[in-house]
Amino acid sequence: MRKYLDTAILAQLQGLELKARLVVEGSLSGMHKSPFKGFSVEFAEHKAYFPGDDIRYIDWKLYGKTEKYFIKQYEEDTNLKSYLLLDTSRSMGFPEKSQTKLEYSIFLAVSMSYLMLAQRDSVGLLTFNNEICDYIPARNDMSHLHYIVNILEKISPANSTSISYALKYLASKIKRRGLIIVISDLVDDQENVLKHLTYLRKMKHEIIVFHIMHPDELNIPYRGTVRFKNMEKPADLTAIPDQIRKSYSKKIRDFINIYQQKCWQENIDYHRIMTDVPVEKAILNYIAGRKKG
Amino acid sequence: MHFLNFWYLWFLPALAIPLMLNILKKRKIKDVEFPYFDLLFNINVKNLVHLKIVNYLLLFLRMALLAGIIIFMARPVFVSKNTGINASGDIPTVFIIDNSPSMTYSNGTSSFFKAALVLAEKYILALNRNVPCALIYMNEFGSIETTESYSNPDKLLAVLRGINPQNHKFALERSIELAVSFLRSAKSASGKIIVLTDNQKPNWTDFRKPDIDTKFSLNFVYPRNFSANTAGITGFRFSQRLPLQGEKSFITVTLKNFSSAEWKNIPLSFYLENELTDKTVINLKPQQAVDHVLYYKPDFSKGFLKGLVKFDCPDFNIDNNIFISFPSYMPQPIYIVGQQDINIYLKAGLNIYINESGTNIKESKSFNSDYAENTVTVFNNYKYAESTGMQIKNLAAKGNCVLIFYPPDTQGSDETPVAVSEADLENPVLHPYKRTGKDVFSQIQFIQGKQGILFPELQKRSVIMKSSGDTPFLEEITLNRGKLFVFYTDLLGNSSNFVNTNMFVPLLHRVMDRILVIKHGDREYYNRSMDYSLDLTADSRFSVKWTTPLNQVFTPAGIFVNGVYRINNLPFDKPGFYNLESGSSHKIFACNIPYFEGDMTQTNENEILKIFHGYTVSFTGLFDDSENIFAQHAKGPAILIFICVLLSIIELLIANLTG
Repeated sequence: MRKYLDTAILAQLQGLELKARLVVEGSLSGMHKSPFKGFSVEFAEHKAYFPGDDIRYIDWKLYGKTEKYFIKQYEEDTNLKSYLLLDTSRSMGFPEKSQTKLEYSIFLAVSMSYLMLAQRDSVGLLTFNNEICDYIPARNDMSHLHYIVNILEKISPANSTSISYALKYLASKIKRRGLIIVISDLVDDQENVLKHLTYLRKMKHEIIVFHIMHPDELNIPYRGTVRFKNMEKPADLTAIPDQIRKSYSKKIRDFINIYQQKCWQENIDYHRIMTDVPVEKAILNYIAGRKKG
Repeated sequence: MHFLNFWYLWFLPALAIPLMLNILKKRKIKDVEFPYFDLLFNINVKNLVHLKIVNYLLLFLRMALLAGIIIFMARPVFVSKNTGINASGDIPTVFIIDNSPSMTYSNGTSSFFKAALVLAEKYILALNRNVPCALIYMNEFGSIETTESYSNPDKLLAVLRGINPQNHKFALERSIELAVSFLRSAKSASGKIIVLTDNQKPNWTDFRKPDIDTKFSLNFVYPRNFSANTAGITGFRFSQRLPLQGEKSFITVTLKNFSSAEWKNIPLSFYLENELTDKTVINLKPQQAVDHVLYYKPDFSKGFLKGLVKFDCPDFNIDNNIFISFPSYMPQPIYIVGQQDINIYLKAGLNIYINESGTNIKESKSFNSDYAENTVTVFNNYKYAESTGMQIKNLAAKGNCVLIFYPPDTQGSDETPVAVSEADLENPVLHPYKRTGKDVFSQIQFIQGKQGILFPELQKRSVIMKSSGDTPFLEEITLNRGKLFVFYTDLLGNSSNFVNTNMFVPLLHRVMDRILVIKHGDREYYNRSMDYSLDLTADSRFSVKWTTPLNQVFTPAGIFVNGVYRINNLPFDKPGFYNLESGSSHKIFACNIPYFEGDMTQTNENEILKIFHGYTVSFTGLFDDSENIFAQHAKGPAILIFICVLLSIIELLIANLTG
């Protein structure tokens, strides 16, 4: 049994649907709204009948009212191309002595992949730190999941983070509008990250940002004197956590709030996930929240 | 600053503990790799300085707390410069002169006593006129005497120059008590008590601090930094026996060799009234002590004799003369009827019968036949009754002498409050027989020249002895051919502490002398053979069993030599007048006089400071100008505890707030 392919988690995800909120371009007919109109379930508009049109779609009720032939047009559903961007920088290796954010994120990525593939969407994967580690183009074959898992199992936290570089790279790779899921702790230049997220958004991609955080990162629960070391650069500082907890809490709240506000403004789906919440529960919460929203 | 428990300061290196813990704590910093380091870094730039300050503050507080506790345990005393012995001449001053035998010890140039007199004179001369001042010293009886002056301090000088060393232990506690009383009466805002002493340990044995006002300062002038490393006479004593002497009387001199060299053939002489009466040689190893008995023939006519013990040690750089004064009365043993085997002596001497009831002296024989001629009948704790009044009159009519111990509260049928001052075995001081202003002697039922209920045949009455307050203590009453000697006290000391002093037995002897002279005019009367053909010139052993008031059974061993009834092993360490009970009904009174003062070991100043905690105490050198004045704050320890608690709270608060 593969480490990250937890059947218990996947079983709980069965039957869930992750619909794209925005229209996406796909090659197959699926559950997501396509920009291409056709004959499907959901009504879109009427169109004057021209000979050669399928008479099955003539709106007879409207003919009764207007004595003119109109053809009903429906929204065409298509399949979704989604891309998982997974941060594998050193900071994702936190904490050292228990499940790291990266391990959690991999579970999340696998689960999301399974969820997407189960609804016959295509899933691609891009792992990165300050460079691109792996890139797997999107496919909708369930066997693709094993390929993704294979890749994910081999990664380990390393190097610094450059989310913007990864976003730029992905933008250059994908031509059609799709769903981009960023899984990261966002330890990067916030302004730059937001700038590139906005850029992708302008390209009509739907973006979901999963901000992965460990509880210790919110409340620094350490006692005594602690030498804090930068995980991505050679730097450290000594402090007594009790003395700085209040100030730090404000800083980290501000940091999160900025992401929340900017993402909301740009119609980017920002969701913070704490690693003490089981992955399946986090996904269920997210999907439930997404349906409401 | 001075510390009473100086050795606690050895714990001061413990102050390094917080310092070491701080260093260890620094070394035990936990490393944490943290993702959002940049956010922390922005905060911590100012926090680092703050952190250091807090750490140093905590370190300081912990060290201060530890130091506070150590200092509290060490009991600090602050050195003052204001109220020493040389302070203003306007302050009422009491000089206490310790004139016990050990003060005759010399440092080679002058004896302690002489130096004390010189210093006292200097201090008195420095006093301004109209400053209340007093001189307290010990008289030849061992009683404390006070000379006061409210207008001219020079008045004290004459008294001071007349003070001699006395062979009694100095009553320091009582002296300070009297000094405080005087200073209170002076009603001044301050007062000085200057104690000129040798500060021997026995002075402080069983010392109970008198009630002293904190405005009074205590100044002890004594030979500081002195250690007895030379030879010397450290005191003398009459051994532990009754102070009854006969033809071959004696005193015991105690000598101790403090030097490292052995004494060989050192002459020891005893002069009595300037005449050499005994001489011997002493051999003594270093640190050894010896008791030597010096014999003399007393002159009974003088009452008190002046003697000189001279010790001519060639390498003896201290004063080798000890002047002594001691009572010398016609030896009159006091016997108590107790057991049959000592009755033979009772016929030979004066008999004092003491019965607790005072009325039924003997049950088996008739009153008159039991107390025949040549006896002295004693009624203790006498209570008037018609029958005994008649018996006394009958005795007097036959020319007998009667001693009546007649406590003031037993007059008539009314119970009058007993005029008693506290019994003070060591310090024989007569206190007024008054309490709450009522003179209980006004109720005595016989008055001179008038017929009274008790003795209508009263012919002559004379007060032999008065106590302070002009109240009579002993009266001689002529009744028919006999004499009544009335002591206005009981023998148990309930009515007067005089009976508990070492003056009482000599007083009894004097009364016996008087009775003997009245009856026979022959001082050797007690020594003559009576019906029992007892040879009193030879040593005769006797035995008697006594039970002490504390129910301790005591069998004194003694001999009757030349009319002297000697008890060699009285079980008392303290001086005073003791009564011993024989069987269930009879009592014997014995007196024990101490003269041995110790071995010149001084009391530690810290011990004195502890006794007088909360007072200003100074120590001045008798032979040098060294002076330390310690102003002890009564609330000092409480303040220190408060500071420690405060430091603890601050430390806890800071530690909790800052983690």
